[in-house]
Amino acid sequence: MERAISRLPRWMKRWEWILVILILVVYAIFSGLQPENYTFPKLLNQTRVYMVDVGFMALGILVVLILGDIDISIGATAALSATVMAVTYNQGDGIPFIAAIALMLLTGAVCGLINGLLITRFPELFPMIITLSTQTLYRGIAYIILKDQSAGRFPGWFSKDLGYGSFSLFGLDVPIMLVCILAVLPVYYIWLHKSASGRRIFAAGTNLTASRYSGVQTGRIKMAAFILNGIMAALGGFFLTSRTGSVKYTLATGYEMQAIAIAVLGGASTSGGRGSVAGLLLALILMTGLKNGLMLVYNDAFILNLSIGLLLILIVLVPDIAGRIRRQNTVRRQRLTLKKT
Amino acid sequence: MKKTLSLVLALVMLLSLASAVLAEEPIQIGVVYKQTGNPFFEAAVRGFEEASKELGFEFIHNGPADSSNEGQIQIIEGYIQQGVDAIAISANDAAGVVSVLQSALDKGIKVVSWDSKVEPEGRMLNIDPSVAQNIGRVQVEEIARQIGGEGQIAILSAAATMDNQNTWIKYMQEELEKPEYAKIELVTIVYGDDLTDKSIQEMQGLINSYPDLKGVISPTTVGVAAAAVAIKDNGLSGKIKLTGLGLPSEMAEYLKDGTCEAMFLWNPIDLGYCAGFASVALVKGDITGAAGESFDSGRLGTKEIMEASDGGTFTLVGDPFRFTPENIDDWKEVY
Repeated sequence: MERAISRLPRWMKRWEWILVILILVVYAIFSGLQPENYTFPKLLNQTRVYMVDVGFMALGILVVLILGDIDISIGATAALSATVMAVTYNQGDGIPFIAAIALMLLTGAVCGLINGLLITRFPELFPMIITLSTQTLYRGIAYIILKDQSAGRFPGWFSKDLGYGSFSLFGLDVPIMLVCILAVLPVYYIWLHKSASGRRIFAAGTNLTASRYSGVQTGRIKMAAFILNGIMAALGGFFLTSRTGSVKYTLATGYEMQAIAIAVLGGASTSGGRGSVAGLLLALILMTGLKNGLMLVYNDAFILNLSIGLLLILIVLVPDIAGRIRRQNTVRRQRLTLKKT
Repeated sequence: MKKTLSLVLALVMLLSLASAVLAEEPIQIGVVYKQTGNPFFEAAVRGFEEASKELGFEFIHNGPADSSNEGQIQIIEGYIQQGVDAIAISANDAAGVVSVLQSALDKGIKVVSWDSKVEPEGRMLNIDPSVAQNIGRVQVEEIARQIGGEGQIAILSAAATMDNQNTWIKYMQEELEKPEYAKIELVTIVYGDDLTDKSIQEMQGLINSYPDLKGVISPTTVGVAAAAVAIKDNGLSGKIKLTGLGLPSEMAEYLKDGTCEAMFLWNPIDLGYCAGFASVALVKGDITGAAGESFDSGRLGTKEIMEASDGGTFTLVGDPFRFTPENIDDWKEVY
C-alpha cells in the first residue's frame, strides 16, 4: 500500500486531491441518506449560508497564517465594521449607503492596522494574546455603540437581492453572493501564488530572519497583511449582514475559529510558510457539504459542532501522520543505501 | 339501485384514494426556538408533540446552541431546503430573521411566530402567550407587594432584541408610572441574553452596583433562575426580593427556601400546542392569518385572530398563573 502511494505521480499526492476525494465521499454519503434534499441545486442554494461570509474571512486570515501569525479578532472586526455601517446609514436617515459601506471597509482596515502595529512593535508578545485583547476591544466598542439593541432596515438591494437573490444559469439558481466570492478567488490566487509580492509573503513566512537579512521588509509585509485581513473580515461581516438584515454586537461570534479552520483545512500551516487559495476553496466546499448534510440528518446544533470538531482534529492529524511515515521511509531508504555502500 | 350502488362504490374508492394521498404526504412543520437545552422550549416541544398526535402532522425542531440570530437563520435555511409546509419560530431577533422568512413565504411556506414574535413582514400570525399588558402588570404588582411599596428595583431581561420581553418591560414601565408606585424607583434594566452564565454575571453586577436594591423582576425563565442562584449565593435570600416568569421545575427549590416568594408563567405546553394547530390551519388554508378569522385549537377551544399593535396579527393562548410555595409541588413535575 505504502509503495503504491509512493509510486503515484507527485501532483496526485497534493493535499488538494485529498480534499477533492473527501468532498466526493461526503457528497456520496449524504446524497445516499437524504436523496431528496441533498441535491446539487439545493446545495448550491445553501452556499450562501456556509461559504460566503466565512469564505471572505478565511481569505483574509490565510495571508496572516502564511506569515506565521494568527488573528482571532476577525469576528469582532466584522461585528464592529457592520455596526459602523448600520449606525452611519441609520435606516436611511444617515449618510448614503455607499458611503456607509466605505466607512465599514475603513473600520475593518483600521482594526487590522491596530493589530498589525501591536504585533510588529511588540514581537515579544504572542499574536494570539494581542488579538485576543483586541477582539474584546472591538466587540466592546460595538457594544458601546449599539448597547443591547440591533440596528437594521437596510436598502432592499442589500438585504433582499444581495442577501437572498439568485439568478438562473443553465436552470440552476446561483446565489448572487456566491458569485461575489467566486469572482474574488482567481484574483486572490494569481496575486498570492503567481505575483512577486505574493512570493515575498511565502518567503517571509517560511523564514522570517532570512527574509529580513535578504532585504525583504518583513515588518511592512506584516502590516499590509493585517490591514488586508481586517478589510476581508469587514467584507465577511458585510455579507453576513445582508443575510441577517440587522446588526447586533454579537454578530459573527465564533466566526474567527470557522475561518481559521477553513484556511487550515485548505492546507495552511499555523507555523507559517504554507497555504493555498485552491485548497481554501475546496475546504469551503467540503465544509458546506458536510455541515449541510449533518444539519439535515441530525438537525441538532450540538452534534453539528461536535462532528465538525472531531473531523478537524482528524484532518489536521492526517497530514502530520503521513509526514511522519514519509520521514521514516526516507530514513529507512538512506540506511539501506548506506548498507549497500 | 345499481346506479346508487356504483355511485357509493365510486365515492368510497375516491375517499380511500384521497386518504391514501393524505397518508402519503403528512404536513411537515419546522419548529425553531431561541436555544437548545432550555427547559421552557423543551416543554413547548411537548405541546407540539401533543398537537401532532391529534392532527397527524410531522414536525422537526431545533434551536441554535448560543441563542444567536445567525444560528436561527441557518436552521431556517435548512427547513426551506427540506421543503417544510410551515415554520413556527420563537425569534431571537424580531428583525433579524425577516429576510430569510420572507424568502420562505415566497416559496409558499406558512410562517407562524410564537412566544417571541417576528416583525409583521416576516410572519403570517403571532401566537402570544397572554395579553402583554397583563404580563407586565402582574409582575409589577407582585414586586411592589413583596418590597412593601417602596425602594429600588431592577429588571433582568433576556436579550434586548427579543421582542416579547421588550413589550412586557414597556408595560411594566407604564404600570410604574401610576401614583401608587411613586415610591418605587426602577434603577436599571440589564440583559443576560438568556444565557445562564451571563445572567448570573448581570445579577451579580446589580448586587454590587446597587447596595440599596430591594427587588428584581426577571421576565424570562433563564433570567429568573439565574437571579435566584446569584441572590442565594450572596446570602441575600429574602433581602432582595425576586419575581418574574419562571419554570416551576427550575424554581421550586427557590420558592421553598424563600429566595422567590411568588412568580408567574403560562403553560409552555399550551403555547406549542396552539402554535401546532395554527400552523396546520394555515397550511390547510382554513385561515390566512388575517384579523377576524378564527381556528380550532383542540383542547384550548377556538382562537380568534386579532389586529396587533405592530401592524400584524396575533392570537392569545392563556393567562399568567401565579406560583407560590403552597402550590408549586403540583406543578414542578409538569413543566
